[in-house]
Amino acid sequence: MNQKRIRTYKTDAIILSQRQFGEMDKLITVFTKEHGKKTIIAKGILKSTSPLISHLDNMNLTRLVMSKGKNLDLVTQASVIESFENIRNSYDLMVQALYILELIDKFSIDNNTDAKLYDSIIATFNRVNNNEPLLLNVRLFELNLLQSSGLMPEFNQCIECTEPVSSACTYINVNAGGVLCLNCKDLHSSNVLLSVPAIKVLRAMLFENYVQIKNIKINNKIHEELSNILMQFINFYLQEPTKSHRFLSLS
Amino acid sequence: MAYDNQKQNNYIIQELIELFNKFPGIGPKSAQRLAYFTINQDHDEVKKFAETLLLVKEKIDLCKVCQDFTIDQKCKCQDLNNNKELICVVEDPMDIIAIDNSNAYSGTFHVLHGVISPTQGIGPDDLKIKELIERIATETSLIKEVIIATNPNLEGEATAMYITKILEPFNVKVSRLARGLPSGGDLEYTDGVTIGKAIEYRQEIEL
Repeated sequence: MNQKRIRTYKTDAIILSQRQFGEMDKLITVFTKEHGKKTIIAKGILKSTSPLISHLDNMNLTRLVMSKGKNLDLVTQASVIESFENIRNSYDLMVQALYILELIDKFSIDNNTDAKLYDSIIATFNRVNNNEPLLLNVRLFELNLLQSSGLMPEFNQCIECTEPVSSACTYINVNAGGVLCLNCKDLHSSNVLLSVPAIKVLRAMLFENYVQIKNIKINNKIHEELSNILMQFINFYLQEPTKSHRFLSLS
Repeated sequence: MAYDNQKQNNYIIQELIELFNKFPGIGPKSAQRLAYFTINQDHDEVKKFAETLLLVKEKIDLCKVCQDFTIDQKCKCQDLNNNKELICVVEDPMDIIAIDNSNAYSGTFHVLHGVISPTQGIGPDDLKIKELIERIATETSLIKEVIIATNPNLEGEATAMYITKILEPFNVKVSRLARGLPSGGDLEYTDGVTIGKAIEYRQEIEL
């Protein structure tokens, strides 16, 4: 006997972005643990009495009941699990959070499952929402994103001769994808010299656990240096600057 | 010769179809339908439509005060019956129609023409925020309250927060539209934040 095909499923999702579709509908891009990034359709959501509307705002972590469609899956029920109210109540936090949402959207491929990235998104938003260091968490997220996309730069060994590079004199080349030792640095042009504290913090971010990293004192200059170098890597891989990045310095 | 005429006719229809196709939400098939509908319409109707289209483009401009679309700078924000002490800040001109239809507001408006949306590359400089500040700076003694009526979503809230921050130096009351339960809605399906706001700003029942 044919088993009846299951046409509905439940999933938790972070809402990344949305745009109007037709008169009263919206196309919503979400990131889920089980199905990766997906674009789904929410019918009648623009009516003021729609039971979905307040649950499907950007950045919400929402439990969705979906119905499989021919092209797009349809949202039939939604309820907010976490709306990260503290982030919403601060302009500075919100701008950084929107930057994270844009990164997820640009780096992930439709229907490509990545449970580790999903956990990292939720952890980052939860920490920022609980007033933990903002810039540190954004940098950690960028590193996690590069790692899970298979684009992590090499920060320990020289990418030319695989010799370990000391933190005293670390040159980074974005096009080559990592650090260069003193002997190999002349093989590439436009290297960036990273300061000793910056590379130490960067290595700590890669190898220590969060509780230990949280206690490191990081001044603004180091934050700026790290933000700058990671942004260069991200822009190099995306081949265009992120749209929200220019607002980070304004906040 | 007859064949050439036929080709010429088709070319005009084709061009009309392509022009309709440029409108948002109009695909090639809808454009075809609209083009043939236009052909079948009365001459007067089509003439009126074409003239109105031209008139809209030639006459309509942004009001220098409220940034709404207006004809020859004779904007309805200059109406003497309006309460000039209130400015309601909205995202786009269509929001003005919605608020006007409520018959609950008699003050003036200010249109931002968008919201702050970092993910789409839209920042405060791309909106009419500078014009709002200039307006408030020149009429400080007159304006008592600025009501921010951007949509209650992430981008709308970001814009509201930005405007509130930037209006701090002016001695003017800044308020935000209330958030709560929609009439005809259902409590069971409402999210926690909305219910929270509805309880926080609950009102006494007057008999």
